[in-house]
Order: sequence, then C-alpha cells, then structure tokens
Amino acid sequence: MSASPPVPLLSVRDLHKTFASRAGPVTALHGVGFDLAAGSTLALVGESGSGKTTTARVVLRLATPDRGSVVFDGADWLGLPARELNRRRRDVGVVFQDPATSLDPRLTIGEIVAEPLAIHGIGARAERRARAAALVASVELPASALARLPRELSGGQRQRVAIARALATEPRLVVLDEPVSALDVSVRSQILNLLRDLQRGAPSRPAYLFIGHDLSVVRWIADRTAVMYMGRIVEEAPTPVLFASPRHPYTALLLASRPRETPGPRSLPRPVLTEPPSPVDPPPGCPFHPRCAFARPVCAQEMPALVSDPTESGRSVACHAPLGDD
Amino acid sequence: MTPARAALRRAAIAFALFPLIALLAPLVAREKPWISGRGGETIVSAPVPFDPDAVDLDRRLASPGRRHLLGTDELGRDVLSRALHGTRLSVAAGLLASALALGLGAALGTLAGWAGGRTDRTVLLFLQIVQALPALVLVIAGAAFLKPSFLVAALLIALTGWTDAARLVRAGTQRLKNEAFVDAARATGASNARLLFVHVLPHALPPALATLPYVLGSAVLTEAGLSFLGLGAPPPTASWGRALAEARNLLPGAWWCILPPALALFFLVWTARRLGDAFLGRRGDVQSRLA
Repeated sequence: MSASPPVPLLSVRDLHKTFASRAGPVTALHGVGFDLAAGSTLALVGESGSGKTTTARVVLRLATPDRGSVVFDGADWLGLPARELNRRRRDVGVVFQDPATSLDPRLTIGEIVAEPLAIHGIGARAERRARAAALVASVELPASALARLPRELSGGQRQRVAIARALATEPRLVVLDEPVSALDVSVRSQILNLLRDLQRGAPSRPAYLFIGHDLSVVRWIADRTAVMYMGRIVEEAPTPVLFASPRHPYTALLLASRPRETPGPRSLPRPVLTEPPSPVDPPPGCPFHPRCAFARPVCAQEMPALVSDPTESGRSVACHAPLGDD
Repeated sequence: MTPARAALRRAAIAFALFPLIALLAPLVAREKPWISGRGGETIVSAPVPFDPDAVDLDRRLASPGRRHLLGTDELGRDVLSRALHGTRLSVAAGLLASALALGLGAALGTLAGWAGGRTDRTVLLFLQIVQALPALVLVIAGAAFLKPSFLVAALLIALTGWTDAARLVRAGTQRLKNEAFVDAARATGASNARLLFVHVLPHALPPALATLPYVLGSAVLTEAGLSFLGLGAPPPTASWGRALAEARNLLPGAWWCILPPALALFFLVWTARRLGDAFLGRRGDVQSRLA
C-alpha cells in the first residue's frame, strides 16, 4: 500500500483573467495554479497588480476567470449553479483589507457577526444571538461590543469583528485579503496572533488563503508561500525554505528590500526595486527580465514554466537562471 | 439639539399643519353643530358653521364679515369652509402622487443599478425620454383623454415625476453593489434579495426619500393646475385650483375669493420645500460625519 498524497482542500489550476482598461486589455492572471491543504495556510505575495487579489476574488467567486479551474472540497467550484454555490459558501469565510468598508455601517456588531448564520438558516434567532456572543468573545472583544455600530469601534476592533463573522459558520477555508494592511502597525501582530490561535483552536481547523504584500507578516503566519509577479506564480515553497534560500531573483529582491530588523554589514549591495513594467504592454519572455540582474538572452524570449525543483521537494520555481544554480 | 435638527423640527411642524387641517376640516367646517339640543337647536356650533358645498343664493359674493369670515363666492358658498376642505384634495394628491413617483422611481432605479448592462441602458433611455417630454403638457393631454378624477390626476403626476428618484436610487445602487460589505455578504452566500433589502436599499433609498417634499410640492402645484383647467377631481369637490379658476372672472372685485386658495397653495408648497431643504441640510451633516 503506497501513501498517496492527501487530496488538497482547494486546488486552483491555470487561471487566466484579462480585464479591459482604457489603455487596452490588462492580463491580471496568467496561468495561476496552486494547492491548499486542509488546515494549512498558503500566502500569496506580490506587488500591487501582481494578481493576488484577483486570485482571491476568483476563489470567492466574486470574479469569473476567462479560463482555468477551481476545485474546492471535491466540487467544481466555478461550475456550481448559483443556488448550490450559495449553499456551499457556508464553508468559506472572508476577511477583507479594510474593516471600515467591509462592515455594513447600519448594522450592529451582533447583527454583523450573526449574519452568516442567518443566511444559512443556522439555529433559531436566540441561538444565533448566543453564538454571536460566543464569537465576539472568541476574538477577544467585550460583550458590550455586540450592540455597537462599526463606527464606534477602532480599526483593530473592527477587523476582529470581520474575523468573527468569517468564522461564524465554521468554514473549512478562510480567504484573508490583506487582513492587516489597513491596520496600525501596533495592532497588526495582535490580529495575526489571533488568526493563528483561531486556526489552531477552532474545531473546524480552517485553511487560510492569505493575500499579502508584506513578507514579514507572511513569514509569521504561512506554512507555504507563493510569490506572484504580473499574473504568474514565480516561486512557491514552504515559507522557511523560501525565506532561507530564495531561488527566483524576484523573491530574492523582495526579501532583500524588506526593512532590516538589525542594521549591519551586508554581504550584497542592496538591490533597488524599480517600478514594474506596464501591465498593458508586458515585456516579451519572462516579465521580470528587464528588472533582473541575472537575466540571460533566453529570458527576453521565453517565459519559463513553473517547475518543481528537482533538488528540493516542495519547491517550484519559474526561472531560466534560478539562484543557487551554478 | 443641533441647529440643523432644530430647523428640521420647525420645518416638519410647519408642514404637518396641512395634513392636520386636511384631517380636521370635516369637523371644523360643517353646518351640523357639534352639540345640538333635543329639539335640534344649536348649542355649540362648529367654528366654521358652513358646509363647503352649501349654496346660499341670497348671500352671493358677500365680503368678509362676522357671518362669513372670508366672505362667499358667486354661489354664496363659504370661502373659508371651501379653502379648509380644499386642503384635503391638495394634500392627498400631493402625498399620493409623490409616494407613487418615489415608489416607481425607486423600483426602476434599483433595477437599473443592480442589473446593469442592457437593463440599465433601457431604463436610462426610458428615463431620458420622460425627462425630455414636457411633463405638464403630457399630464394635461392624459387627463383630457381620461375621465377626470383624483386618482387619474395623481397617477399622471407620478408617471412624469419619478425620474429624479430613479436617478438617485440608481446611482446609490451602482455605488453600493461593489462595496466591500456587500461583497462580504455575497461571498458568505447571501441571496440577491437579501443583498438588496438588507445591505443596498437601506443606504440607497434615504437620498431619494429626502427629495419627497420637493416632489410633493410640485405634485401639489400640478394638481392645482389640472383642477384650474377643469381636469382634476370633478365638482363639487372643494379644490384650490378650481376655486382660483372660478374666481378669475371676479377680479378685481371679489378679491376674498382668490386670496385664500392662492395663499394656501403657496404656503403648502413653501413649507414642503422648506422641509426638503432642512432634510438635505441634516443629511449633509450626517454624511460629513461619516466621511
């Protein structure tokens, strides 16, 4: 009996999406694919415009890709009819970037947190109220918050409300679209710790699809990290591996351009992260080659495919000249 | 209480006088006494002891005096009684027409804003056509073809008056349907009906509701115009517009026939518009606080 690899909870393949813009068609997704195992966390990182938020919106079925497939919990997620989709959305939660806009300003916190339960007809009104109170407590807000309106809460408190709402139906997947980017730096780590504790503590053990641009944040929460660049995943690996030895020059550039925790001598001159090329008129070949210090002639002609690293299990990279290959 | 709130309160009270008069008119202005003795003799009479339609040919065109406070018209009917009863028609027509206009505008605006695409373009075209047509001519033409009645007048006014509400609700719905909190509910599995009625319309309707006093004001004027032309509610219903038409030939002599309905009309429209302004002032206040 051979141990077959476990079926992933979420399996995304070959997503393509082009938007019309005034300057012409913009390709937001260019063959994005990844797997997310149940109960684990995958981070999608990249600059703005890399396609990470579009990917999240496709997974949430708030956007429709031009082609590609999403299999969630064994179901052809993109092919589900509206009614069936809405029923199964019970298994998906979402936390958006800015809690100032993601909570209905007219509803109380109690109503907001209980809404997913109301949508899916879970429990009677009184039970829902009790469940909302438990959820609010689980995100470490006082019970007095239940009767408040969103505008009466701080940014960090509001994001706790959004997290409580996302977890209300005990979903198997939670999409976190830059959940701490809009928050004060002082509350970011509290929210990240809360997210991590809730993932471990919740009986449903939700998987997280974490969208972010801040690598120091991702390092804290993600089991695996996928780096996106202009609509493609250019490198994906277990987070510690990716941080210890990036193989794609873009990953290396992102890591090196983080503010350093300990200023000191550096072995390499600090790279300059220049502006990405225009998404309306992407360069031929690898879209990173105009900014890449290691570009070879082939890089301007052919897009490298995302292939598993033969020397290391669990890592994929899309580069003609990956770092560490001499 | 903030100054804006106080202004809104004053405007609302001033406006509310008219519906109040409309409701109380049958009690205040009637021939039947409030309390009568066993023999039918009057003990306490109504403050204006004349039925609005009671013709008294012996006292035609009496000038204001002790018996008829505001005089009588050419049929000897009490002008004050008719003005008080006329409030009923104007207020009812204004309320009904503006409510219908708002309902129609809100429904079409929501449909256009939510569905988008071809539906939106069709509704918008329809809206532009209605706005480009001369509304009063349309209403007069319609009223001339149909049997004059209160309902027909209100309906015709509504059919030409829904466009501003539709534009406001359409814009609000368009803005809201992509709000993050709507997306959050959508991604959680909320039905379209729930998204609309719980998350979109409660935000998209208030701006249109705030225009209700303006719509009401112009509906009152249009109804008076129709009555003036003999296309409104048929006689003998007391109506300010028809009173003006009847008094037109009596000028400059019987000025008391024309002033009461004219002033009543003016004050009703004025207080309605003042209420609208107070509403908008307060709304602006709220929005700036949210921004």
